[in-house]
Amino acid sequence: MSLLDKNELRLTGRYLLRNKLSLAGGIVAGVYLVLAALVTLTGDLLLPHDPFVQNYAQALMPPSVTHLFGTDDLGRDIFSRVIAGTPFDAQIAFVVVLISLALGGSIGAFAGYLGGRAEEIMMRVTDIFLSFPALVLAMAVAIAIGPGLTNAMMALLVVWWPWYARIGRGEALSIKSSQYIEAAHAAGLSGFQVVIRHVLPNILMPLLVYATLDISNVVLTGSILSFIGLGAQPPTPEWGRMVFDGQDYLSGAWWMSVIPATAIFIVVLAFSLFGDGLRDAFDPRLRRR
Amino acid sequence: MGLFRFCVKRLALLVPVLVGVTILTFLIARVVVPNPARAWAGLKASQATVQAIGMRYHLNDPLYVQYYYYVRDLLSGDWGISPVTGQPVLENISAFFPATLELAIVAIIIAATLGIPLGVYAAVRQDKPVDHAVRLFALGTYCLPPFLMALVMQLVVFYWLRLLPSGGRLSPFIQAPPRITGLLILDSILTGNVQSLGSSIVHILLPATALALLTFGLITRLTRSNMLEILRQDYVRTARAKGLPERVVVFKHALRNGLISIVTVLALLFAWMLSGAIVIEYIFNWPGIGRYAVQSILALDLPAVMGTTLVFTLCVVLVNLVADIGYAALDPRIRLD
Repeated sequence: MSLLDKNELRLTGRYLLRNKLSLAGGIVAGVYLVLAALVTLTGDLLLPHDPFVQNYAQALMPPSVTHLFGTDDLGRDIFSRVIAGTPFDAQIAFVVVLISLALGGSIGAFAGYLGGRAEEIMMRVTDIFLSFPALVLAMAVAIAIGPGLTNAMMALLVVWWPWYARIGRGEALSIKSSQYIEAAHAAGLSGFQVVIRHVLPNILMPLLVYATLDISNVVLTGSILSFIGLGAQPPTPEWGRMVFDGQDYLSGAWWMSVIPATAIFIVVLAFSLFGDGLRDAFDPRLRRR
Repeated sequence: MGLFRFCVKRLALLVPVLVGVTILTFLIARVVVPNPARAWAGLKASQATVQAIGMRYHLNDPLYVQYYYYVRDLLSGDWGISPVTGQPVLENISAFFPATLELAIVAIIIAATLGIPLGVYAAVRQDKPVDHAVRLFALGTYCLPPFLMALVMQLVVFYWLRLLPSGGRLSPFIQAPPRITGLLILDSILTGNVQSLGSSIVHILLPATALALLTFGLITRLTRSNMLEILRQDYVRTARAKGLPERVVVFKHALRNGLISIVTVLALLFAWMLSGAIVIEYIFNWPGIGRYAVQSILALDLPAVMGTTLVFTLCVVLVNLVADIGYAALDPRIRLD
């Protein structure tokens, strides 16, 4: 069973092409991911300056030809640091979204398919997680396990999976009484096998579409976590942290904080536009209009 | 009476939520933390203090016993003592809370007065350039990191134009009015203090606008989609058919119903706003619980962070309750049983 038939895929592609804004978002997001991959693979080779080398003679220089985005209080080139920082948010976003999707989606699928007591318990547990504001819960978990990039991801995961469990359950409920599920049952598959082989593959598409839209939320919340000091620690060129370090110099060197903050904004907006378009493209009701 | 029974039922539903929330914060504060006694005593505390804290919070007892004492302490107002400042957490939080409340109220007012008319306008002009512009603007503000908004506003309005102060609640030379509600604007009005009224309004404008712009996108998007749905309904067509001017149809007939469903997302808006307030209060040096939370995080002060987590969550749960009851009271169509 394929996820989508080819015709559907072609229509979706055509819709995305017609929707210029989400196409632009997709391109920017793509460029960002390519940059992040390049930086991860080549390290600091492609950067015009070393993102870590301090040079006090060149501290707090405004944007110029040699330093495109200026320099920070320690004389480091901000352009190089912004580029060197591309992998961090991408890493946070993909790890958090993919694990939430796998974990939350499966829990939701089992709960929705099994029903009864299991479903009831799962719903109550997700209710509790969802009654916290996302950032606040992530903040509490992160402070408990200690600041750091990996810990920030763990904290975000704790907050993020319930949304996927919710969606997974809803989707599993909607296909539960389909004939192919009944047929799988009749063929003698156990409940576990039915969920793994038939329910999960069939609820994957809506979960993936939601996940694309969700990347922007994770990047935004992750950047706030690192802004308040719970993410990557200095001298890591992580964007949220750079904004935090630069805000004391706002009056004299606005580029130190405003440029990395703008980089976060552009990435969040790009993924958001792309995800919006993708969701509309998969919703036949909206596509006709 | 239907509504009364609904309220009672809704209040009863609050109990399991609160139990769940406290279980989760308990687990974070006592189980997820590698060494709870040290975290609650402070990183620089002596061995004796750590042991005393362990005894005080029953940290060596089984978890369910610990949870009992945890909830008992919460209810009796003992939210722990900050190892960094040495002050009781709840006392600090209640001192900082009114500033956050005032900021949030002003921000909601700004966001609603800008966002609702814009949403209506976009809906009336669906698919026209105005509609696209409004939608893009709404999406843009929705994606804005709160610190970008706050920093740019501070840079332009304070450092470049020198129009408004950059932070704080009052000018340093102005005597604050005696604390009645803790909301400076309200206290100034109540005591007839014109000087502090002016100063507090001037100080709140910038942070409140930054906070308002964060929720503005959500309000505009929601108003627009509500209005689109309502404007297609039969009673709107009837209103138009009987010759009412379009203005009356849109604002009197359609918008009134559109506003009701905005109440339902109030909790979502509020949660969103609190998250924004954490960053914005810190940047604008606004002495609320958001700034307190960030300062506590930077000092690795676990009791204070757990306290603010609980307060933020209780606020959201409470707003959710009020929104549900408000919705039931406003919309006679929803079933109360």
